[in-house]
Order: sequence, then structure tokens, then C-alpha cells
Amino acid sequence: MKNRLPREHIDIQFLSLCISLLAFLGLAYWAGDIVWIKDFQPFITLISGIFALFIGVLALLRYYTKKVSLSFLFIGIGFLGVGLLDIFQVVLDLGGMSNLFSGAVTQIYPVTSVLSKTFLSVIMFVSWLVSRKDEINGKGKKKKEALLMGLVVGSFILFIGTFIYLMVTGIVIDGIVVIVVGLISLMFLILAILGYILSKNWLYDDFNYWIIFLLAFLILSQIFYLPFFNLEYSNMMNLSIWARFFAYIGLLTGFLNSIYVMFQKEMETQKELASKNKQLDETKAKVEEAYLMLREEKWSLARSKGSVDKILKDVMKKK
Amino acid sequence: MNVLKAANEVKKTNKSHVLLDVLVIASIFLVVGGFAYMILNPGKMKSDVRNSERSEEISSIMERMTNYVQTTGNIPAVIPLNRECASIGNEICRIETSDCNGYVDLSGVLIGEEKELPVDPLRKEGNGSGYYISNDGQGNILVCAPLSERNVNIELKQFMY
Repeated sequence: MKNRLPREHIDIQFLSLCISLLAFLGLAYWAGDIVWIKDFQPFITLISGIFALFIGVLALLRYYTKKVSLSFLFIGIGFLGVGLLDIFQVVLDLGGMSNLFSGAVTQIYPVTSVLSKTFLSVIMFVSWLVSRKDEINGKGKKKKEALLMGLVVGSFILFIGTFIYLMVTGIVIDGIVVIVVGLISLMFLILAILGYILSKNWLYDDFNYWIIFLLAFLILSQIFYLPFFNLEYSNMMNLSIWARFFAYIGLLTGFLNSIYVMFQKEMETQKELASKNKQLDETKAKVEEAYLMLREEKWSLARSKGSVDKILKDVMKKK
Repeated sequence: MNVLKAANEVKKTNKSHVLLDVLVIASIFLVVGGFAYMILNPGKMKSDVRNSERSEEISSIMERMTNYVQTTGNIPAVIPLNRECASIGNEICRIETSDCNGYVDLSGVLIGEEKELPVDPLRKEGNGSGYYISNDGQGNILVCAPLSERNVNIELKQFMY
């Protein structure tokens, strides 16, 4: 039986998620007037790639040491792939690391970046699907889940269909393939976040909350990437990278937190073991003491029994 | 007494839970509102309007300088010699101001027209107009608007001869 987390703790977690999303939107609002934000684009992509590699390694390590849930395997594979693709893209764009802070990004929609985003969104959706198989769902819950997801998929099909119709009718839209692929990955991300929220595992495990945090920021990153907001194009690309960076930081924090929780549990088990050992020692000492007392009584009884026999023999002789 | 105390504590925790729940719901609404606001982004729209106004105004200043050069054959002497346009001492003085010390006074340069010069939409105070002018020494006049918003560089450079 899993222990349910305190309600206050869960409320604070979701409040902090909303506040960080709001803070990021605030950054997006003022980003147009921040001059230095452009210079960090390749650097942040590189750091995000390194973080993704870290996350991948941690997730795979977690899977191979515990083998509790397959979702860690998928998260691990996904993040390793995404990290490699991101780093490859930075190296390709800059033509080396020497101009990390001065080099401009050559392509607007690099193929590797579109690929890495799509790959990660599909992997996150699959990780939810796999984790869903592990748990037993109620019938009503499943119905609700199916209805919501059906609605999301339906609206995305309509949206994508409109774009394809526009393309077929000859109305030229720049980067139509990127928009369609981007919309598909956005759909997978929304499905994954819905799945993780409806599974309600965040009521018992902090790590599920951090996955929701990751997905929320990945959705934000995808929205900036497509781009849907009224902002300058370069700022949108920049903010998309920054949102991704925060998403990775969130999941990395989740992993560190889960390691800390495991460590704490281990400590508690050790403490429990120590107190049980102490109890065992005390019981043992008590049993030994009782045994000794019993033996002493037996001896004295035996002694007194001996004297009674003597008296009985004397009485018999006199007779 | 103890029962009363316990009941009070339960009430307090319930209150804090309700408050936290309300905060979470309010912040979710705020995030959704934030998304909607960013789709429209009226702040950016206003900045864009002001920037296009600036572009038009520096074009009109440049046009007047061209008229002056075409009439007199010389670049106005009041325009400071500087390769950098947005530099101290290059700011154009407001026409209605009497004290143009430290600014570029173009009132004598405006010929045959209405004696009026544009002022940057964000330059509310002071004697400067928010627009800068300089002569790079190679026959070019530079006019710029360093108060432009959202990192947009609004500058004009024109060869006068």
C-alpha cells in the first residue's frame, strides 16, 4: 500500500508549477527588450543537451537497478537520443565550439531540432502508456481518460487537416511540414500530460509531479516553437530553447529528489532495523535472566527437597 | 478543553487547505490568461506602432537635411562630426525649447517649411527630442532613434553629395 503525500505538499507543488509558468510568460513578455538573451541561444542548447544526457543516464540506471517500471527505460532512451541530437545540432550550427557565444544559428528550423522534439514527445507518450499498464484502473476512470484524449486528438486532427487543406488548395504557408510535425508532437505532449495527471500517481510519488513539470514546460517550448504567440520570430526560437532548458532542470531535480527520497527511506529502514535489533537483544537478555532465575529456584527447591527427605527418613526409623 | 483545541486545529488546517486550493485554481486561471495575453500581446503591438512612428520621423528629419544640403550645398555646421550616431551631444534639441545647450539645435536649418521637428514618443521630459544626428565626415548624415523598443535598430544613413 503506497503512502499518500500530504494534501498541502501537493497543493504547494502545483502552485509552484503555475508560478514558474507565469514567471516564464513574464520573461517572454519582457524578452523583447533584453539584449543579451540572443547571445545565449547556442550555449543554452548545448547545456540542455548535456542535461538531457544526464537525465538519460540516470533514468537508465534507475531502470536497470530496480526494474520496477518500463517507463524509466523509455525516458532514458528518449533523453539520451535527444541529448545527442541537440549537441550534434549545436556543433553543426557553430562549426565548432570556439564561437559558442558569438555564432549565429544558421537555420531557422533545423531538421535535427524538429526530429528531437518529435522523438521526445512520442517517447514521453509511450512512457505514460507503459506506466499505465502497470496500474489497475477503474472502468469510470478509463472512460474519462478516453473521452478527454479523444477530444484532444479530434481537435488536433481538425487543426492539422485545415493546414493540409490550405496547402493542397495552393495557399502557400512557409514551413508547412514543420508546423504539421510540430502540431503532432504538441498533441503527443498534451496527451502525455493528460495521462499523467489522470493517473493520479502524483498523489503518492513526487517523481510523477516532476514529469508533469517537464511536460508543462515542453508544451510551452513547443508553443513558442510553432510559433503561436505575438512575439518576434527570433525571440520565439530563443524562448522555446529556454523553456526546454527549464523543463530538463525540472526533471533533473525530480531525479535528484527521488534519489534523496530513496536514501531517506533506506535511512529509515536502517533505523528501524537497529531498533528491532535492540528490542531483540533486550528480549534475549530478559529470557536469559528468567532462565537463570528459574534455575536458581529449582536448585533451592532441590536443596529443600533433600532436607525434607532426611526428616522423613528419621521419622520412619523412629517408628 | 483538549477536544476543543483539537477541533480548532482541524478548523485551521482545513482553512489553510481551502486557501491553498483557491490559490492553485487562481494560478491555473492566471496561466491560461497569460497564454491568451501572449497571443494578442498588446504591449508588443504598441511598441511596434511607436517604432514605425520613429522610422517615419527619422525619415522626415533626413528629408529636411537633404533639402538643406540641396539648397545650400553644404552639410549644416551644427551637426556634430561623429561616426557614432547615438552618442552624447548628438541629440536633436526640441524646437520649442530656448535652452539647447549640449544638444544639436536644428532650428536654423529648417528652411521654407513649418518650423517643427518630431519628438520620440517616449521622450516626455527634457530639452532633447530623443532623435540623434551626426555627420561621419565622409559626406554622410546619420539619423537614429536610440529609444526604439524591442531591440529594433532604427537608423538612417544617407550620402548628401
